[in-house]
Amino acid sequence: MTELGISLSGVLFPGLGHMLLGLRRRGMALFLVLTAMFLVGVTLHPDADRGGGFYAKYKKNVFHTYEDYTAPFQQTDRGRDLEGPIDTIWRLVFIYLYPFFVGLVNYLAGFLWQGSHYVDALLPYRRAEIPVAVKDIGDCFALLAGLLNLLVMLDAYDLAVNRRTLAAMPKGAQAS
Amino acid sequence: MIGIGFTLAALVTACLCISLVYALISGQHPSRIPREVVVGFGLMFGGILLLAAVVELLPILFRSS
Repeated sequence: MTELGISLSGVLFPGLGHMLLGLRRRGMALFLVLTAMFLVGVTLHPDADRGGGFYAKYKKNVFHTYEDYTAPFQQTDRGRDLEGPIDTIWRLVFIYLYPFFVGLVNYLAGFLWQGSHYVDALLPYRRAEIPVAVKDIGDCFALLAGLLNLLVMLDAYDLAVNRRTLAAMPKGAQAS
Repeated sequence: MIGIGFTLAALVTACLCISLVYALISGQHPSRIPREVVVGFGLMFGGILLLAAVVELLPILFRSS
C-alpha cells in the first residue's frame, strides 16, 4: 500500500492508518478517543422533533436531513444570495468534506446513534429543549474530532514515508 | 442557561482528548506518553484559564474612574 493510501485510510475511521502500519495499540487508542469525542458531540446536539441536530447544522448534508423552515434567513437556502466566496468555501468544506475528515464509518454511526433512544436516556434535557450553549459545545466536540483526525492522517503519512526512507538506506547508515 | 460545572467538565474533557491525541502522534516512546498528556493538558487548560482571567481583569484594570 502506498503512503498516500495509508494516510487516506483514515477517511474510513480514525487510526486505521496507524493500524495498517502495525501500530495497532496506538491506532486503537486514536480510534477510541476520536470516536468518543465525536459521539459526545453528536449526543449533545441530537436530532430534535424536526430538523436534524448536528447533521443539519450546515444545511444540506450527505443525508439531506435539513428541514428547519423556521431557521433565520442567513441559515436557509435563500441566504445563498448573500454568500461570498469565503462563505462558499466554508460551506463546501463543512458539508461535503467534513464526513471524510471525521471518518465515514464514524459519521454514519453518529447519525444512527443520535436517532436512538440511548441519547434520550443520557441527556438531562428533552430533545427540543436543549440549551443553545449545550448544542454549541456538542458541535465543537464533533468538529474537533474531525480536525484532529486530519492531524492523525498526516501523522500516518509521515510515519509511512519515514519507514520507506529508512528501509531504502544502506545498512549502517541509519544511525548517522 | 447551563451551569459552570457542565462548562468546566466539557472544557476538561476537550483538553484531555486533544492532549491525548497530540501525545499519541508526537512520536514519543509509549512510556513517555502519560507525561506528554499531562504537559499538554496543563499547558492547554492553564492557557485557557489564564486567558479567561486576563479577559475578566482587563475591564477592571482599565476602568476609567
